[in-house]
Order: sequence, then structure tokens, then C-alpha cells
Amino acid sequence: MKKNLITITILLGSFLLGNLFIPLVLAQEIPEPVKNEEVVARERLESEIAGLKEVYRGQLSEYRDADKEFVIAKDQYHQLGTLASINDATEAARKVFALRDQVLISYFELLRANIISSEGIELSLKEIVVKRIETEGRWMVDHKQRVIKMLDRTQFNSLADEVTEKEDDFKEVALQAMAILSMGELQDVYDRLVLVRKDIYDLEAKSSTADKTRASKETDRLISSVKINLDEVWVELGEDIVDGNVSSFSSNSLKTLDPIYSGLNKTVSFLQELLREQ
Amino acid sequence: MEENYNQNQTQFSVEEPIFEVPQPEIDPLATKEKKKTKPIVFIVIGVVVLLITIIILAALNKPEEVVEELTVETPTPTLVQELSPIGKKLQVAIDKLEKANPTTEQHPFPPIDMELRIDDAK
Repeated sequence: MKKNLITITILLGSFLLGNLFIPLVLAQEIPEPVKNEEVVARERLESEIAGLKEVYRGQLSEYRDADKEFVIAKDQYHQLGTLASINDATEAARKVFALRDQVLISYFELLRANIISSEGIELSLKEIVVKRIETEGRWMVDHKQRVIKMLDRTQFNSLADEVTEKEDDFKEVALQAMAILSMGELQDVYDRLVLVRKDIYDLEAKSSTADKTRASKETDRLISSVKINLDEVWVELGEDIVDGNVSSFSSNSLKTLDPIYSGLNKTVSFLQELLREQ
Repeated sequence: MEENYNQNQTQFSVEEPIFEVPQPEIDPLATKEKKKTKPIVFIVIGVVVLLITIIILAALNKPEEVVEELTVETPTPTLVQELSPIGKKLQVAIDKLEKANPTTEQHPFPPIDMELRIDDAK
């Protein structure tokens, strides 16, 4: 009798314990929805970009402070010409030169990460510009190392001249990156709007009227014109990038990109209207 | 009177006490059984106490789950949730289009002095 009582108690206990804890264990074991590798990589890149932006802003702020200190030390050196003032000016130069190099390194890293994460840029153009950015970045890293090691004032002047001579190259690569990023963003919006249009097209297939057909045709015509415009600009930009000179494109970028931007805005309005009518 | 009262102390000590209560005989087997049953009773009581504690803990934990379920069942209506899947896709495109405005330069060249020099003349 007593044995039975114990057995029943143990069974009851096991049942209750099972009911209480099994859901918890199961909750831990249920795997999270598997993310696509591409999505995970993009999320990682986006978080990297956010981090880089913070670092870049901080370095820029440090550079500004160092620049002020350098201007003061340089004035002192020009006014006094003492050994102490030369020493101060040299040390201030080392600091500001290194920070300037670091700001540029971070800026190029930021551009590179943005280009890689962009969805609307053709892969071949991405590769060309990313390679150029990496080349300039490596040059800056090497220059910074030499700045840190340099002791003599005259050698500092020569290091300063190197950067001045490279300025055009840096700016050219930055312009190329900015151009493909701007176009990439517009292309990405266009691609998304085309997908929305396809979804609306599927809805239209279920219920179609003369008015709806007319509105749809207008929308499709607009999308086609935006597509033609985008393709033309990509061809032009692609040629400029291969040639390594986008200065002409960049100086006219607003004039070139604005019609595409306006076309996309109008497409959005049309799609919103079509969607309301469904 | 005096003859009836026996004053012999030796005899008194030998005789059994008149008012002594007889002690019941203790069965050694029964004692052993009692000793055996006690721990089992304690185990059963322990298990029951443990179960009651678990049930109480479970009951205390339950309200939180209910709150969670309620929050899931009655979500706060927002603009995004009201949109259809196509509407959501369109909204994402609109947000991206706002960022893609060509009038706003997103990655300008850093405002740094590229002609820094200790000595002014080259």
C-alpha cells in the first residue's frame, strides 16, 4: 500500500515537473528563423558602417582640435624661431598630420563599406572603384606610419607635400565613389518600384476596367522612361569611371540625376494611386 | 492495633509495590517497523511539499505569460501594420527615395586642410 502511494506520488511529481519545465526547454530548443547568408552579411556591414561613421566623426573632431594647436605652434615658431618653438611646431605637425591621414583612411573605409553594401550598383563598377579606394587607403596608411616615425622638420615638409600632390587623386576617387553611390540608390529605388508594379499587376489581373487599364499603361510608360534614363546615365558614368575621370559627371550630377529622381517620385505617386484603386 | 501493622522493613523491601502500574511489554519487532516507516513518511511529505511549492511557483509565473499573450493579441495599431504587403514594399521604396535625393550630398570629402605645412614656402 505504502509502495503504491510512493509510486503514485513520484509519477504525479514527474508529470507536474514535466509540464512545468518541458515548455521552457522546448522554448530554448526552438531554433530561430534561419537568416539568409546575404541578409546576415548585409546586417553586419550596416552595423560596421554605423560604427565607422561614429569613428570618423570622432577623428574629424580630434583633427580640428589638433589643427588649431598646430596653427598656434606654427605662429609661435615663425615669430620666435627658437629651438623650443621648432620642437613644439614639429610635434604639433606630427599630431595633426597623423590625424589628417587617419581621417582620410576612415573616410575611404566608409566609402568602401557603403559601396559594397549598396544594392543598385553593377558589380564590375563596384570592383573598379573599391580597388581604387583600397589603393588610396593603403597609401594613406603608409604615409601615416612615416609621419609617426619622422623626426626632422624638413622631412615633415616633404611629407606634407606628398599629401598635397595626392589631393587630386583622393578627390577623384571620392567623386567616383559618390557618383556610383548616388546612382546606386536611385537604381535600388527603381528596382523596388518595379517589384511593387509587378505585385499590383497581379492584383489587376483579377479585376480590370478600362480606367484601370489606362492608368496602368501610363504607369508602365513612366517606368519605362525612367529605366531608359537610368541606363543612359549608367553608360555615361561607367565610361567615365573606366577612364578614371568623373569630374564632368560630378559637376553636372544634379542636372543629370534630378530627372531620374523626379521620374521615380512620379512613379511612386502613380503606384500609390493604382494601389488605392485595387 | 499495633499487631496488625507489620514494621518489618526487610519484608517490605522484598514485596512488590502495591500501586505500581504494570509496564506494557515492548515488542522489539514492532519498534523496528516504526523506525522503518518514519523516513518513508518524511519522503512523501517532502515530495508533496515540493509539488505544492512548484505549483505555487508555476501559478506565480503564469500572469506574465498572459500579459505577453495579451500584448500579442491586442497590438497597438500603427500605420505600418495597416499597410498591405504591397503597401509596405512601396513604403520602403519611398523611404529609400527620400534618402536618394541628389540635392543632398551624403558622403562629402572630409573638410581637412590638404596643404598643411610647417614652413609656408615649398
